[in-house]
Amino acid sequence: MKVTVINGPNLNLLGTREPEIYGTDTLASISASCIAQGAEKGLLIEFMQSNHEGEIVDWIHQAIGEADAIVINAGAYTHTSIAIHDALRAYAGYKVELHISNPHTRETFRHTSYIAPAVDAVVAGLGVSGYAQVIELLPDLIARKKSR
Amino acid sequence: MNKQTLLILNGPGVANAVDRPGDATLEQIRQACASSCKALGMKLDFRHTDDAGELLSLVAKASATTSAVKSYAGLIINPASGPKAKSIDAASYQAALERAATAQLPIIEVHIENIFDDSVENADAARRLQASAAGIGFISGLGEFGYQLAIKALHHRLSPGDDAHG
Repeated sequence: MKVTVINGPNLNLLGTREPEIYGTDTLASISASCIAQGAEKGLLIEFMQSNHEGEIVDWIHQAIGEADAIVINAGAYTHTSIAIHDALRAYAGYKVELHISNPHTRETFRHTSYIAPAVDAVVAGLGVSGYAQVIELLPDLIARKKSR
Repeated sequence: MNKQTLLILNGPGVANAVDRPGDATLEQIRQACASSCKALGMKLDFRHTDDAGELLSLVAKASATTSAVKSYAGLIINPASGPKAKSIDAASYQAALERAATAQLPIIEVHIENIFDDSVENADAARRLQASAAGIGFISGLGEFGYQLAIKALHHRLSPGDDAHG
């Protein structure tokens, strides 16, 4: 099974940008832990990052019919992007919105997610280990969605 | 050293939330949580109440510290589900969680359904409860697996060499 992990704007700076919020792990180390966790569960992980909204939309389109699940941390586009919302609506596989911190505990402009109504589940505030912890559950979650 | 104890609180209507065929019942969720905690070397106190007042007093009790010894190492809370979510006063609930977070109690809020999906009945009633106290983790829509993820995440947070949180 294939899983597309999409990271949005500024996540390439992870480890250096506001480490008190996002921690000192880099995106490369998160990618490595996702790929390792995926291998343990028989999942092929495609881990990507872009600062460009349209590129993220393109990646979601590419996942249609190709990937069994999408894990998306859309960064700040979470709170602005109807285009990403629409693209996720078009994707029928299992989809999880993920955040390292919990946006709801931060500035009010982060309290609304355009992504959340278009996904199966939202996971936030579990730190960078949230990525691998979600991937570990994906085979069960994918199977359950397919059975319904 | 005594084993750490996790408190899992389920509020009004949560037992009724798991009514789709193939869904785990709250008792099955409790059993799965108990075995996860055991495997991670933690004790579990798993509770359910349909009474909003009792839920708030259980949160208050969990945030109380006695002579620097905390009764609970962490709290997982599914505050409410379905029409009964309306029975909770959002401001009182958020204030209770705020106090618990201030008392350094790690907290993860769990919802079985995705409360941002408006096809989920009374999702708006559960959604208005969402607390904004710093550091609270949040899981919505993973079904019974949400509890498993919350237990692992809290165990990770309570272990030395923790990564980012908040």
